[in-house]
Amino acid sequence: MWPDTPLTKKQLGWLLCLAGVGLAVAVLAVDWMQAGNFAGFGPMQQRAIGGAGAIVVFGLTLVARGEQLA
Amino acid sequence: MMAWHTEITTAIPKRWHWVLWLAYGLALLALLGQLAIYIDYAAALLRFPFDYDQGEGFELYDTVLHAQGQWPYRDSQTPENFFYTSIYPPFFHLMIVPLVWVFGPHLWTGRLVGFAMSLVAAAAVGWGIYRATGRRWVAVFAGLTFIASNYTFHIGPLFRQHMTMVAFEALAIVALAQVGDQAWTKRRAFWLGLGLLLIAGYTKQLALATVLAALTYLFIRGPRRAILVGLGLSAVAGGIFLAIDWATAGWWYTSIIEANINEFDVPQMWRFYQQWTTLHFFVAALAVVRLVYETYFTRLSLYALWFAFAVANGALSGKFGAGESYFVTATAATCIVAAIALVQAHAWLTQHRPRWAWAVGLAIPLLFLAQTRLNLHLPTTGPIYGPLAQALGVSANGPDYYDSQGYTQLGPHPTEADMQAGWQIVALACQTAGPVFSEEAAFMFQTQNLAKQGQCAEGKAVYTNPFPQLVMYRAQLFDPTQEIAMLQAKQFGLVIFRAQFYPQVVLDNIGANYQPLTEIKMNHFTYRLLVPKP
Repeated sequence: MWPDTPLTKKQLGWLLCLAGVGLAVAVLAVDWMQAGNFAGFGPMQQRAIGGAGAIVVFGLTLVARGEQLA
Repeated sequence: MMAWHTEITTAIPKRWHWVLWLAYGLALLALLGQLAIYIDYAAALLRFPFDYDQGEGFELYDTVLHAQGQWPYRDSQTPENFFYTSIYPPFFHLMIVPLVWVFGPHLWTGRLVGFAMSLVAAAAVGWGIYRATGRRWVAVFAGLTFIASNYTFHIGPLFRQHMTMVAFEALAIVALAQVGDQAWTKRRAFWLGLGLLLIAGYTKQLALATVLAALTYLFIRGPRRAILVGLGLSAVAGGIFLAIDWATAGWWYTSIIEANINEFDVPQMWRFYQQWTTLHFFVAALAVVRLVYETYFTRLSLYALWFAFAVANGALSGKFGAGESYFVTATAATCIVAAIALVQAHAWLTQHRPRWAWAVGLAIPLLFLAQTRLNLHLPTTGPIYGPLAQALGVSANGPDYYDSQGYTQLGPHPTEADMQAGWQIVALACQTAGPVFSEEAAFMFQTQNLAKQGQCAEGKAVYTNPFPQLVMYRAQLFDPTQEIAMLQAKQFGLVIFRAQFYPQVVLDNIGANYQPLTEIKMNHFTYRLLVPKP
């Protein structure tokens, strides 16, 4: 059975990176579906992609903390 | 746990004890002073029988409908439902139902509950700090700092559900913070916390951020268990949601969810962030430092996560119709995290740098004193407030009222003139034949109360709920055709306007079919009364 141990900062960091990438993909996918094809970034998409990028960077700083418990 | 005096003087040379006692005394005096001003403000509102903040009367109407066994979530496009629906969950109103059963429909019932729940929230803040640190003084200071916040002051004693939501959120977080890493389901605090989260969500939808903070914390501590908890909580909350939606033929979902998706104003959001940060600078700065410390150098606490989620949730203050209340949860979380930061810093310095422990020991009361000054608000006239305002070097920036936030609609006490103005409006409503189209509901409840005493020919029903009507119209969820038909037929004998938060087409039809009767000033707002054109 999958052990239910607390997350480490590294694991939390990777999860955040995944969430950030997922957000960026979702923004691109929504934009593509709405326009039929990729139509460039409006201000809202830019903010969302910027936010996703910030989440990934934040996640990476936590990855650097290693096996310390989150 | 330290004794009260030991908390203050530990690790401090005896010759400096008097300085610390003086600083603690001043901080306590300032905070208790703001508490007294808050109680006085609440008492003034309890005596005022009309809407003080627009929407209070409609929250009373929600309560009355619940008291009658009816759901307030309905098709607001029909005269049978008086063009009325509610956009708020029911728990706050259900809490007040017993008071309405006993005392009748009065605004003081909900204001009393709101005020009491603000004290509960403050007590939860203090209790959480005490449980986490063992420090009584800091717990008391932080709880009182929450009360001293301008935002808590403004909205605490209103007939609005926001403060009650914050109280349940704070109680839930403090309960869950006692649970620890192991054997969650064997802990009463765990089930209590989950129950309080559910209640908070069904008090106001904004509590979702606190729910997410709690689930995130549980996920970090035990991912598999947290997923099961999340699924369970979702199942219960979702089951209740579906049950109410079924009982209201879908109008629950339309009113609670769809009607609350409004236009977003990014500059408005930033203005609120700036204002909140300025007003709560000292505790907010401490909380941010503590959050960064916990994120990178020790384990993340539930309080720090709650702080992060609550501050992020303040982004919703950019919604049309949102206000400063969207930051009250963040204020509660900030007070807890800041207090813990102070205590931990003091404890570390006492152990590792005892020569500097006295500095933090002195900084604790001075910081709370400075924070209280940032939040200063008080009336500026009268035998007590007049000299006090003068002594503090402040003068009115509102009607006989100073607020460090600047001019605010909420905060000044209603006056005897405001009371008379309200009764003047009620008298005109009583004299009206037929229903009244009123932007505030409390006037109608007073006609009902007077009718029971034989002082009004007939009590008037509450028609419309302007703000929900406006946002639903913009979202194409409200068709005003039947309402306009009644206005065009001049079936309403009187129209009472304040801010005119109605769809433009409704306002245009009122303008075409009604003419001004008089204007009455109440609470520094001009109420415009109109009657049908001949």
